[in-house]
Amino acid sequence: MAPADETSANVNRIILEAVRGKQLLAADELWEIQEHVANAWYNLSREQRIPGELVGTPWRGRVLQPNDMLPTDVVHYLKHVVVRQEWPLGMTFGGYRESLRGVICDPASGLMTSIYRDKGCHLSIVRRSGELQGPGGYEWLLVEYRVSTGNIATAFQLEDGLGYLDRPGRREKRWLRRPR
Amino acid sequence: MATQATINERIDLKLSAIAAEIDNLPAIEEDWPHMLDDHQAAFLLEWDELVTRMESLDSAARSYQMTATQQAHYRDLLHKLAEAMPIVVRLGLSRPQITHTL
Repeated sequence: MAPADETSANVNRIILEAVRGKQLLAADELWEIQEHVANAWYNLSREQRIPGELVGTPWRGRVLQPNDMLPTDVVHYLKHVVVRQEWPLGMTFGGYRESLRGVICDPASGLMTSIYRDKGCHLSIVRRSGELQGPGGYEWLLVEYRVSTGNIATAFQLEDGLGYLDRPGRREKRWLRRPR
Repeated sequence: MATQATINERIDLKLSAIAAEIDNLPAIEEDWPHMLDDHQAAFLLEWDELVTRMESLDSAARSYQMTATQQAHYRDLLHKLAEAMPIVVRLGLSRPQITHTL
């Protein structure tokens, strides 16, 4: 079995070659990408200050206060799942994590590469939200992976569906596989 | 088909999310030079989505889908956005295409 960083470098190479249009990816290469991204997660190297909309939200036995610091994955969970209700009510943090893995690994998910603003190469994974659509959610769900850092940047549900990917700021867009 | 109650609930969720993000802009600008590149990317991506939601609120306001209270909150939101526009420009954020007048 190849070491993790060797696998990561190989997957990033495959993605970057696809961005440059050098090759069509085989099914096993697409699966290798999905498996790799499914093991990626938010950047947890530094906690972040909570945004104002999370103030007053209960988390692990206390009510969040202005300027509280939390890990990035918790901030995303509280913002999109608990406060904005994009995921079903009552979804736990663990359930949220599993839901993202499920979307990333789903053979029905679409995979699109692009260059996003000055942030380098991104891989956008999109799928119909289905059972993951909450009261404030939408029909499509996005998980955005950053090739340059190997981290998930964010995940949320898309009001304008796949039209979100056509907003200004993305260039060199290429579907590795369209969503079904 | 969505009921009026569902539509109202969704409008309320959008109004509060967008107002909160606009309120957060001064803190974001202050933190920006020190933010991790991943956090900057996340903010930009999520702002793009909020712009879509702002534009749909604009459409809801123009087609009289909002309650009187929601209309008032929406007008407050437009004031906040106008005040925050210099930060939007300085950070290079997307600008919503909104036709509703204050």
